[in-house]
Amino acid sequence: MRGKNRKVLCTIIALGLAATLAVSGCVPKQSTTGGEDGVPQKGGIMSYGIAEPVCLDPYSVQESEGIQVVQALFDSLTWFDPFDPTKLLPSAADSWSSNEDATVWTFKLNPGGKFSDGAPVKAQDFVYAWNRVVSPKTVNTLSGDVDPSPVGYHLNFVKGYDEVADDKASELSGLRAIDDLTLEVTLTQPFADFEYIVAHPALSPVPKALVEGGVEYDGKKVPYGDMPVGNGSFKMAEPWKHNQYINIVRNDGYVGDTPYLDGVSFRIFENPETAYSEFEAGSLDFTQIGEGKIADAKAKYGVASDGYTANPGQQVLLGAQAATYYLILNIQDDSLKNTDLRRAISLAINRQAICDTVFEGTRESADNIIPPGIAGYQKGGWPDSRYDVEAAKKALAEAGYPEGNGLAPLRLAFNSDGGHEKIMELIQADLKAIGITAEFQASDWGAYLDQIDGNKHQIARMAWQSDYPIAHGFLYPLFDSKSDDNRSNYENLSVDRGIAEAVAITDDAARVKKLVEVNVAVAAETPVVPVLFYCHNNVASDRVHDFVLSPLALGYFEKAWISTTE
Amino acid sequence: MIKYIMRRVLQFIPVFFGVTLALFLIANYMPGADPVRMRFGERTPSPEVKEQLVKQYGLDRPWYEQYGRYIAGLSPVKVTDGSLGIASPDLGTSIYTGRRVSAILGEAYPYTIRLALLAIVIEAVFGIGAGIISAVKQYSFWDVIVTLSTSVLVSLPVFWVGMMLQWFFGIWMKEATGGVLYLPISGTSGIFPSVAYMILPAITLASVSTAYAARITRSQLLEVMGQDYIRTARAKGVSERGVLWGHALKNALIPVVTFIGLDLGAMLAGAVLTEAVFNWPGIGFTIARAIAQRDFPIVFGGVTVMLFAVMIINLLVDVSYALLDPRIRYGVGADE
Repeated sequence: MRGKNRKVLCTIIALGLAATLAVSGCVPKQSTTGGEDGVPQKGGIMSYGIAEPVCLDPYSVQESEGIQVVQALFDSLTWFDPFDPTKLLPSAADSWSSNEDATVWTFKLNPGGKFSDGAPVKAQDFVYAWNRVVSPKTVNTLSGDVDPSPVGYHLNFVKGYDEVADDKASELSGLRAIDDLTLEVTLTQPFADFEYIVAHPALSPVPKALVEGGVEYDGKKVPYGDMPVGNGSFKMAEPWKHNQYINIVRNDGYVGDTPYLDGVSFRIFENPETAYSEFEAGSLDFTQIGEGKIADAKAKYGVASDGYTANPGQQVLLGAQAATYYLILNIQDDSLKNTDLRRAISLAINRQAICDTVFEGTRESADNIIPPGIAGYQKGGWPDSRYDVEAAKKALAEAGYPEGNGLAPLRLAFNSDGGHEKIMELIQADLKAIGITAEFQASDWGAYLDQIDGNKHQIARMAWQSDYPIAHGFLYPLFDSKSDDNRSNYENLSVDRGIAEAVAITDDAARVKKLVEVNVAVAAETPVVPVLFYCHNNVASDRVHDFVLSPLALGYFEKAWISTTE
Repeated sequence: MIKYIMRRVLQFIPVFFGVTLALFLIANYMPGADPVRMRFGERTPSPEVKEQLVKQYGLDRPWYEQYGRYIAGLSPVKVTDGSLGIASPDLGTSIYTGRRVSAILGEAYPYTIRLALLAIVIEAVFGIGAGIISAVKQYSFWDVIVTLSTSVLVSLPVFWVGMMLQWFFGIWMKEATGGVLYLPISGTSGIFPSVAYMILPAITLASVSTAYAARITRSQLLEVMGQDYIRTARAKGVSERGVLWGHALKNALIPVVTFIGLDLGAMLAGAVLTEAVFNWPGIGFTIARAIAQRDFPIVFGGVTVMLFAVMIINLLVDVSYALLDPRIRYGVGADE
């Protein structure tokens, strides 16, 4: 529902913002539950604007829309506190533990867990589901064709991953259902953050019989992908009506607290502006605010005090998201291999001006590549990620280009379809101010990806949101020399080593400390330029209470309720 | 007539191959990531998964082989297990969503057809009606209204018209009447009877064409009314009404019918802007989205269906000339 870049953004999962971390305007205050006007009421359907998901079958779910629906229908092993993502909550698993070096993990399932058709959730259902995620032979139930998952990498630390991914084995050897309620996972290397990985909705349990045989609806068999049956607090009311709506209702057989809402109607919009018109017409309970209408919406609907919880009169949500907008600087480029030049670029950019003029104040200027809300974020953690023209000029002179003399024009690449041009214009002007000439190189999303894949970029914009609320989800993909997502071609063996050491540290505080050290080392070399942290720009209707949109832009329906009488 | 139709159908064959071949070449040489790559977004795909998908969709094959497969898939006559048989055309599978293209088009097309038919009715009734009034009462108050409003209408952007209609009938009217009287502004179903959801998008889709149809009708009718045979008819004592309906209109309408027919063809190819504004799940935004996602099977399938639709409509338009103008005869002995 947001810009193109975010829509396709594959790496997603939700998590809250650490309440302890304060950044300016859009910060959570750890809201207590909330309606001033009384006791939650049972009943009512909340209508929720969303773009067409790509997939609702957990095995292949990766984009924010699909994840939003799947997390309402399914419980994976663990889950995150909606406000504080660093805090894990039991979900399908009651408890879990690892051995000393975090290579063997044991999850104890909740004995009351059931799929919405009444079948108990067993450890074997996780084994089946996870093998589906990794196997190149997995069949998409919508077409009946083989259609492997794009998100198999979630499990690449699990023993046997390579054999299954290469089609040399059909099952992950590291997965074992010890009994119906005990799942044991063996990893190929220590990975202390594994408990966060297993929270991803793609790793939810699925019932084999229904995946392979279809789901009975209205006397007919419907493919599982159109009517997934899960173990979450909601269930599908009817099959997915593509490009129109997805209706889910409360699952009364749910093992945990059942939601107040009777259901949620995800109404699918191709164009977010239309969704906002529907909201203004009073026929949608939750959507994204239309372009250029944030000030108007704030005045009309009131802003939520914590940025995340919608209640009557506090309907506009502007809380910070755990996602960073940044510029890639290609270190293999002849000019950009110069660290001082990279520092100069970072220091020259007036981030606050971009937030204010382009986003009506609904973005935060980034002072770190790790966004707030993720353990390891530190305010000002990237010292050169600030606006300081004098320092920028000095760095440019140190780079050997006083006032930009002798520096060939740099190419500033972006995709033309996501509204990035306005940001790039400001960046271009900021660079000009210290003497760097930047030329635009705009192309559509497909051509843009092609350019970056082909390593043909100099400076290129990108956004990153981790699948899991852990610093590793930023540091490994963006800066490890072995990562395919390291588009800066940054190579620092001590950073690689630091990341590898950190993942083996089982003590949480010590692990985060190690990752912060790594982050500081990376920051000194400026392989990327953090520009903005994303913030919500959503609004709820005045009948919605206690609805939380977490920092990863995922709606929590569990505690939400609707006042049916005005 | 039969012969004429046969000839038109044969003429369609080179058109079909020309268009689909051009499309394949464009898709093949279009700058941008391959369709499989698009599925992964900003994250780099693992080489094994990517290779598997590329192979599965035949994207590692040269374009002519892919084209051959596409044509073979379309062909109703197929070789299965060494024997010839009849099978329904296969449009393949969407690369982005893994769904069958025929299922995707099967969902979208009925919405497009429904909307196009209603828009065409609006266009024909109001366009021709306004044109007739305007021509018959030339320089009257109503003529001025029609010519003025049609000039305004043709110059307005369609999406703006749509958004204004949404605001007026959906938001303003709802507030003004306390929620009693208003129209749904997007989607296809809900608390209203489903025809209500078509009203605003159909008006929007028809708006510009209705204005054109009115202007064409007016100018054609004025021209025809000045011709000798009309004067003859009047001299014979035919009533003004008889002149209009019996003589003038039939001739004046030929270009209008051509225009409306071509317009129907265009509408069946989907109306990207109208569909986007009204969230109408038709073929227009399905294909627009597929192009952005490089989901070529949907693009090829959609264009194939459109080609057939446009061909059939053009044929019907040509045949209808014969009904409107007795001088037009197709087939043996026709004047060329």
